[in-house]
Amino acid sequence: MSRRRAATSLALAAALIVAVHAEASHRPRMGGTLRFEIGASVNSLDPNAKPATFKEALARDEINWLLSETRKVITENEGAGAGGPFRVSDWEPGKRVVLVANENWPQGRPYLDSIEIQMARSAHDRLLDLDLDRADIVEIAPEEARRASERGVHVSVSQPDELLALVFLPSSEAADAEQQKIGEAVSRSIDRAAIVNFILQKEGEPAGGFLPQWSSGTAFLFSTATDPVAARNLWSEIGRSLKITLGYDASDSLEHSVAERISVDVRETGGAISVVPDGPAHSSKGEGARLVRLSMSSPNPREALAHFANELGPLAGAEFVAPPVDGGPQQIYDAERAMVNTYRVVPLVWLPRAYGLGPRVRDWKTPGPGEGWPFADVWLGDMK
Amino acid sequence: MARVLPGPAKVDLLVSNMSSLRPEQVAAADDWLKTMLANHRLRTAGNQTAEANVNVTLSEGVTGFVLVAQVRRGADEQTAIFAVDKDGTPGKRAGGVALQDQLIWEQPGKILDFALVQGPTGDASQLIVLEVGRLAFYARNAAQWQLTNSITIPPMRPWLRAPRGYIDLSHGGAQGVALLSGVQCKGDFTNPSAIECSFVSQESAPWAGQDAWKSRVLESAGDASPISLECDSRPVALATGGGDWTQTDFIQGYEIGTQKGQGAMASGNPIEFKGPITALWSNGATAGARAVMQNLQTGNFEAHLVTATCSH
Repeated sequence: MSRRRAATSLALAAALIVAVHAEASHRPRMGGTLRFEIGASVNSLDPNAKPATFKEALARDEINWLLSETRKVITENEGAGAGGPFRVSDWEPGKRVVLVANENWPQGRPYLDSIEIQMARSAHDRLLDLDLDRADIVEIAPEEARRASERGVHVSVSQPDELLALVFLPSSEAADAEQQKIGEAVSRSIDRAAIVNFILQKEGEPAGGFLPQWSSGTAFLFSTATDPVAARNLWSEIGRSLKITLGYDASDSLEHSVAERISVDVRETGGAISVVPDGPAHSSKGEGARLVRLSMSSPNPREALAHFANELGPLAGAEFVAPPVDGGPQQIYDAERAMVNTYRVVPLVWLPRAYGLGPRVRDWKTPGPGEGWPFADVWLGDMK
Repeated sequence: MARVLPGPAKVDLLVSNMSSLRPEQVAAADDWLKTMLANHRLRTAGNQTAEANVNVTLSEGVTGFVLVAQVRRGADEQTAIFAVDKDGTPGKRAGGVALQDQLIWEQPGKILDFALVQGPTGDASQLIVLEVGRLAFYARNAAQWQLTNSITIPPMRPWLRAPRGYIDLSHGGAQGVALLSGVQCKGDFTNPSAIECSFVSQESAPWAGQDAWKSRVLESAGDASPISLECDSRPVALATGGGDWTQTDFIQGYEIGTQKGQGAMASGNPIEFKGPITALWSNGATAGARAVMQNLQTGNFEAHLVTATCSH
């Protein structure tokens, strides 16, 4: 090898080393206050208090998880003495909570000294605060994640693990067979791909069943395609004109957009759905339905399906049978297929959880199903 | 599949893959399926008219691979799903430092370090696992490791969130030392009841020396350790990636230049891991390292032996 070629090889090797190891040491560092902003407004940590929205329930569970590190719920008073990685040091209901590290946490004191959680911040304000270094981590709505990323925000997105579904409420007016046809007609009318592409800005996946592909490996067996011809035939088989009322959470812009889209899709196949914010709670006259968001309780497909069966069955007045405890993939699929074929709950889309991260945040792992915010492992490094 | 499609019959078989299986593994699965069909008096139709269509999809979920067979016969369609074990065979590579990985042990709890003790026949007869607050001893029973003994290591104060640990058997199992943040346990590791633990300063801890070496030689690596191997008279070291503990990781071999200014050069192909390497230690006189990894898919901690050879 000539001297020049040898020198070139060494330079290339050195460049390779630099490229392979782009970041410096990865050992955690102690200290600091992490500033975190969320959209929900948690008014009470008491599990017996009825949360106003799905988002409040979710955020309350996350905070309680940091105080107890189990999914068991606790009251505010218990929170201060419970054995989690953090303790409440300041609490302004609905606005702000400050958590400090539990020095005696048996699993090791968290790296952070404290976490300041600002609640009820609008999506716009959260991103602005991240830009201006007034926040370290902010929640981002799934439909905003792509835009934020294009603006240069470091966005951490989870696997899609939250199901948005349309649930038909128990009805005494229609016979079971007719209810099933109504549900199937609505399901086949909905253009799920359009919801994902346009409303969710491609952050999410169409849902044809109750388990995402990454969990079960069999989601592809459940069709998510729109089938307007079959839907029209079903509406004509039903014969009578129906008044279907679809409720959604008025504080949730995503649910509003999806409800409006479903209304348009159903109208195009010959059905009729009227969209009502915050209603109906039950079927009074005609068919009542609601949009529901529900997170997977576990990445394990059997456990997640059992959770959905237990939560959604009573809501829809259906008897969903969970797969057996020792059930394999065939039993899980059979149970899921049986739930889908009732058409009492129509899966729509899988939503991910998204967070914007500031330059000091290290070891943030966007929580998966059944996991809480990972603040026990997060630490603050230098500005990148 | 025979239960949904009793033979004899001619079938049209289509195999597709939506999993992370490699093409050669898919081809092997295809061959296996054809053999299985033949064993059940089902054969592929070829140019003849098929009596049934069998679409087989190799897919993957969190619990492993699944084989999904959709059997269509006239208007009738049935779906059969089978679990398939994951095959973690690592790839081989040529040139430079060639690495081989062997999974020794995995468990849900955190592993700080581990060590294998050779028996009289030269095979590993004892596995020692250093955990946060515990030293566990396992003996080989057929192909399984079975817990035979354990000692509790009392903390001086609540354990650090990310404690480090090290097992030193360089003077033999009878003079073993286990170190973890602020505590040292010494004694005859073949007789755990004789092990005694005491508090020590961390200044001379082995990780302090390892970090100092890394800073000089492979500054940008996450963890790095020289091993007992030279390739073309150049000492070899192994190093992890520099990502944080939420990311998958790799171990790369490096040849350390012996002349001034040469530094360390990446050599051979890295081994990829399904989670961060949380500890990396030279495995004594053997050319390799002990690596502890947290598998991000399962959450388990895994003890791996990575052996290195010079490949030309």
